[in-house]
Amino acid sequence: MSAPSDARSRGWLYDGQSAIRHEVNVLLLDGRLVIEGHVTVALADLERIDASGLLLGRRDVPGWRLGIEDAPPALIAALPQPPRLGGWLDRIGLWRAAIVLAVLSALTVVATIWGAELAARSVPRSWERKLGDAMTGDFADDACVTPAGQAALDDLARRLSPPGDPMRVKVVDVPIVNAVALPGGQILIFRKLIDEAKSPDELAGVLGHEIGHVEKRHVMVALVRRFGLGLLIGTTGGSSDYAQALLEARYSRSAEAEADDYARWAMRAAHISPLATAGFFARAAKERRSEPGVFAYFASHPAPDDRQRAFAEAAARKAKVRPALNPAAWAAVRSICAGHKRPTITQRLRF
Amino acid sequence: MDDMDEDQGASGAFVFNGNWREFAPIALTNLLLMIVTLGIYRFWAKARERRYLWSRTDFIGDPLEWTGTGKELFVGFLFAILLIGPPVLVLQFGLQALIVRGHPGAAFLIGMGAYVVLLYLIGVARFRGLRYRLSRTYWHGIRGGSDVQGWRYGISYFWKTVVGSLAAGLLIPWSMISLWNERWGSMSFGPHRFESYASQGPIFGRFMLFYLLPVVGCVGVVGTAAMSMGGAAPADPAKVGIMLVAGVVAAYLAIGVIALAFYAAFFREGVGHLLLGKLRFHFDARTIDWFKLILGHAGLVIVTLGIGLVFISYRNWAFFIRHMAASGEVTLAEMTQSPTAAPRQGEGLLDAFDVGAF
Repeated sequence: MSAPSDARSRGWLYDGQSAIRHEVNVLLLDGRLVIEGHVTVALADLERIDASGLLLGRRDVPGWRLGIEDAPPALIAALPQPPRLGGWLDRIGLWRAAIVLAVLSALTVVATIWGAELAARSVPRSWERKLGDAMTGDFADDACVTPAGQAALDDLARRLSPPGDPMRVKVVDVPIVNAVALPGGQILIFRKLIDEAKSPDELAGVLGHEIGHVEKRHVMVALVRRFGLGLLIGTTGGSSDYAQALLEARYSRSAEAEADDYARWAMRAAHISPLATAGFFARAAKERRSEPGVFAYFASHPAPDDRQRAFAEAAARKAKVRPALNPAAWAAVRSICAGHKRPTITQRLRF
Repeated sequence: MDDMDEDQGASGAFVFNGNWREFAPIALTNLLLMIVTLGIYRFWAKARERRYLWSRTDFIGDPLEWTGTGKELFVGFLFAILLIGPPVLVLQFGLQALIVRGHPGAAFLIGMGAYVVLLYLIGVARFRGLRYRLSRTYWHGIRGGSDVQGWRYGISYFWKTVVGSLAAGLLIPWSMISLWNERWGSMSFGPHRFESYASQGPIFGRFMLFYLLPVVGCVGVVGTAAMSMGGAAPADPAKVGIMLVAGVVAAYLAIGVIALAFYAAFFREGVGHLLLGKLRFHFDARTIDWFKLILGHAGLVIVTLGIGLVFISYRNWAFFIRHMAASGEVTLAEMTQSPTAAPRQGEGLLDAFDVGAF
């Protein structure tokens, strides 16, 4: 049984072998497309190329193209559907796909943030210490060390550290009012911070804050998170950069608050008054604003007023307190950089 | 009429007949999908854009066709991350660690090594990007490509780029032209190999403008200073400040215009000396045309508050095709399918280094 002659359509064919254009007649016969004088192709092997014209390709022959000029409705209906967006987007539709993808993206971001935190916290402390040492080295050459001053610092750090896990604290000769917790639990106090501190209690507050960062593993979490988010969205540029900056700043603020909480808890346990720290943070925040950020991931802090208030409120709770260091120890700390002559570290710290 | 030789004059061999109203729905849905996928959709977006742009571009009366897919570009991107990840990590973390620990010498050597690797990979990327694009471009069912992988081109790219920057940059035109010839000379379309015989002579003069600029600048500064000194009243500091700022802005603008003028000449020279079988290509955009294109990009982006960014690829392509021409003849019967191996992944490295070509 043959198809009626009016079912024939005119078309043209590139066979994928040469650039010659063949004028052809095509017709649909028993679920297959007969291209007279050439080949017969099963409908399942055909794909629609163009959404507007009737242009067909063959999945198994690259470059094979058949254009049909006057296809009757029955033929159009039998041929594969034209692509619109391509792939599975066509099947579920643009808006539905956009919503599904938005939800998936949000979930991925949340999972990465959460997963980074989980992964960072499950890294053994000894590894973290090794990693930190590999990244930053120890600052032995650049640190200010006097036996009495370092002993006083170590004593203060021990009292503010969690039991059995004393932190390594060094003073470096850098004229910046700041202190940082490095990966691996090293804490660096910059010289000017000690110069500007009005009492050992202020130093204790700052040290407690940095120990809080180490204890809560903020540095490691920030590193892993930055790396993870970078892999996920950092490489795609544009608006995702803002998203990342936003996420990091937000994280950073909550981390600062956590470190402050720890500092208040540790000072209370060590019988040190948090009152002086309240004033110090207010002054330091003012100064920090006018200085270039050395460690970008410590840039975003909670509002200084709130921090000040929190420390002041902690002081209001009556507790037995004594000065963080006795006058002799405090004097030793204050003069720890007196004989030090290596101002080059500012250059070296620019990572 | 099955076997017809097509002969075409220099005008009209390439015709772009797309319009931005047709392109807008593609670009805007792409933008939406890129936003909700944190940018990952951009590989599929690029494939959709190209499918449209190629299908609206006629060469001797018949449209081109783009057959590349988003998945290929995505795989290429992953491949690029694997390749460039290690050198970038070394540069980011390893070097600081070494410097802080007091090994600046080792840090310097390793840093140089990482840069060498990156420069080499940029060369490979340029080659493979072109190869990929040709292999996915069909006309009359025939595609282009190259059997060369581009790893050796990376070495050429590395040493020619380094040598080009020696001698106060005087060899840069030579290195660019010779790399262009080498790259295109390895490409083919159908059974024909491209031949590229551009030379640096015609573009060298434009390049010398870069050297003229500082001289003009110095003369300008000295002249202005002399004029203000010659006046009876001492120079007003505010006026001097304004003139300094204006001078810096003018210098930047001048550098941009000279770069554009040089690139326009380079591109005309490069395309104008490409042969494919009996076809010869031409490109007629002058500096002013490029200038208008870029000014138009800037205006569009500003007026649309950034959304116009999605039309830049369209405008680039339209510009490119409108200034492209070809003369000679194509013998359809001789134009047989390319025997080159088709690369399986896309131009990921190009993407990663952001040297996306035009």
